[in-house]
Amino acid sequence: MLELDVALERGAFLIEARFASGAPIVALFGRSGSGKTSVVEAIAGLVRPRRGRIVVAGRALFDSAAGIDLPPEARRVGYVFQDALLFPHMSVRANLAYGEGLTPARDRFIEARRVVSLLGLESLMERRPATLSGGEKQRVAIGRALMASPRLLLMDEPLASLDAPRKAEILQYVELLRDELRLPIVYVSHAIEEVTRLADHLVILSEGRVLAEGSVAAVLAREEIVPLAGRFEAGAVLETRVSGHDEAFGLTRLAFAGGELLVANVDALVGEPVRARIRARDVALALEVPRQASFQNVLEGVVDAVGREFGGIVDVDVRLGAGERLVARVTRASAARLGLAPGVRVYALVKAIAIDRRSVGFA
Amino acid sequence: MNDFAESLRLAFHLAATGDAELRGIVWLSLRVSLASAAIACAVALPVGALVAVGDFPGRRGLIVGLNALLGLPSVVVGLVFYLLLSRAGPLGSLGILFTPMAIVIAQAFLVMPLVAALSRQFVEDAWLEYREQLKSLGVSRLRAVPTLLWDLRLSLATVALAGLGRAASEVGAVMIVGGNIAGVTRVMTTAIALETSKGDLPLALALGTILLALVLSLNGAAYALREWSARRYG
Amino acid sequence: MPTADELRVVALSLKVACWGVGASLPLAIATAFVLARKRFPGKTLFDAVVHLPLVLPPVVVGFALLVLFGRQGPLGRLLEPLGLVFSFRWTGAALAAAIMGFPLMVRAIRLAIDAVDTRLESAARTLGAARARVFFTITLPLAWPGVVTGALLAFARALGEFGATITFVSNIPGETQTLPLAIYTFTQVPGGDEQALRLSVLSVLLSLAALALSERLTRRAGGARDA
Repeated sequence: MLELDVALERGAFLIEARFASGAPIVALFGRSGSGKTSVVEAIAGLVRPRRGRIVVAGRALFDSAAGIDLPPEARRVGYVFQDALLFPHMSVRANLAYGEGLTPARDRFIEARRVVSLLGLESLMERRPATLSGGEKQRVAIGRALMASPRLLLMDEPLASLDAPRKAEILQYVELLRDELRLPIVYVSHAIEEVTRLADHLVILSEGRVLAEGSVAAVLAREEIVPLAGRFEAGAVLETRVSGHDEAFGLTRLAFAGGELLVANVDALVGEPVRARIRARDVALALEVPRQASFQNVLEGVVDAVGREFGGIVDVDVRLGAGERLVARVTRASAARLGLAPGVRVYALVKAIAIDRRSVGFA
Repeated sequence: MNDFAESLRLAFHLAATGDAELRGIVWLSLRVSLASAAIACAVALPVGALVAVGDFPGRRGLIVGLNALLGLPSVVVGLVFYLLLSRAGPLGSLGILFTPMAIVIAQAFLVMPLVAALSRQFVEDAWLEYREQLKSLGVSRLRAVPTLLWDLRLSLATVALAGLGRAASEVGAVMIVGGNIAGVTRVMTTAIALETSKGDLPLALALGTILLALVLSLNGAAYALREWSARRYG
Repeated sequence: MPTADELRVVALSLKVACWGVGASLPLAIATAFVLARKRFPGKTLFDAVVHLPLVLPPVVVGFALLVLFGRQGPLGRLLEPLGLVFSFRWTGAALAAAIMGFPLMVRAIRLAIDAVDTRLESAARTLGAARARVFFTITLPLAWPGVVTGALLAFARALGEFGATITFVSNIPGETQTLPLAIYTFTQVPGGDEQALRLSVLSVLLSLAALALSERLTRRAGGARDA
């Protein structure tokens, strides 16, 4: 359980953030310079807020009114940095053991062996950080933070300096941490894909202020978020459950309240919850069910709002059967031609291949 | 403490009344330091600049050599010149040993590596900045040296001041080639060393204060010069 | 081949230089750390004072030491009952050597500490290390090549120290007559030129060895740093 309410200064920039959450993964999302790293540094005790309160698991780490300001070494908050920051003069083994040795035995609840096997570090133990690849460094960094048995794990853009395959690999480890170790995590990122995949509770920061917070679906559907998520990335998230696989055609059916989605094969068992992100640019609209077309997904809904216009493009909010939202990006010409306006019945057409492995996250 | 206070009073008195011995020592110090610094600068400023812009075989070796000279103990330099200039030595016929001239030569030689190293630093930075421009104007490396030296004249003035300060502070080499002869080769530094070993504090104190004032004003002047040129030229 | 007397001089010089540098090293590390990491009013002044021995003429430093630490001086009288006598003793030569080499040590160590990424120190703190532990397990080990370089530079300087030594503790054979002072003394003695030359060679060799070692360490540290 994390409660945060702080005001802090970075040079001339004032950050005022406030949120609370008991969710396993709280994601802080925002553009570079929005203050997310400062907030996390405040939780870790590396910067001191001007005023406010930070409480983790019922324990006050900082409380300006009560005069409490625990030094970082007393906070039991783990920190995984963007560039690992492994100690160059120590082996991997020594790096991992650094925090472990400083944690009193009664506070240790994470076993060293478990961490090593969870993150696959056995073969790296005697190596030096300089000889490790980016992905390996990041895994060791996570392991090092874990071995100090933290009560909360902070991850500040841990994937930023990794290439795509490594990103996917580490993302899986993060999900593993949440599931296997039941460790609350605060995850900071400016990449919408990471955040939509991992977050249980999403906090959007912009220019030092919390713009929105809540579940991923709720937050991302809000209009103000669209420019932050990037024009390219505007879209919606559907919470679904795997209802079946089509082995012959390599497809998976994802069921949700308003219907069913057919997507390219997803590696999940029937009944597993899956979060599917559907980009606005991948959604087309029609006034009637198209007959001989390749769209696998035809979802019935009603136009909620015809929204922001950028040049010749407009985003249309569509409400599906059971209240889920989708966003469709079409040309203004088409919107005019079809007479799209609030209340108009439409069919949202989504290509199955538009929802690929990268858009799917496991809740 | 009383002893000290008494010496202080006497020292004051010496300085205030312009004691002849005091004046002689100070005047000699100024003359030899200025002369040796001037010679050192005349030789080492261009050498430093040449090393900075140059690209010739053995450049690396020369730089290492200059740095090594910089770390050489001054008594060793003094000894070398002593052996050269002594009656038994190759230059003994010049009869310079134990004269101010010997001090000037030895000091100049000691100051040269310092001036060369500092001038090289300044010229190298400027060279990096202006290299392309000068090349496009068709200026050869050799021709660039006087241009850069003139352009950097304020910075190089601080180098000269540093050299002068170094010369005025020198004692080891001066003792050996000068002999610390009263009225002939006794400069401030050697006099201070001598007087304190004799236990005679007032003269040493007076000289020490003057020497200190000299060196501090040289540093102050260099600092002011740097500030002024920074403000003027950015 | 060096005579017994010459070896005694070398031994004394080494003793003076080693003690001078060794005893002042912890203070130099602390000073360098404060200058590198801390901000406080009067820092510029402090920095200037630390670098004074570089700027001042050695005889002036020696004279100041005499006034302060001599038998009659305020600090001399304070330390005498504690058994610390500097006047006319090798300890005074060591003190002079230490002071003259101090700014060189501080400069090299400070550079090394500056190069240590403060974020590494932050990472150590989040792992549970208090500030002191961070210094000894992270900062100092990473800055160590700079410490060694600084010590070697100060050592080389101490070996060549003349002005401050002769002014402060005079030229007492066996007690304060270090290598440079011995070289000077031999030139005053008829027929001493050869011995002076031999001692000079020894002196130069020792200085060069120390300087070469520090050069090699600096270059090696520059390569190992990219970890």
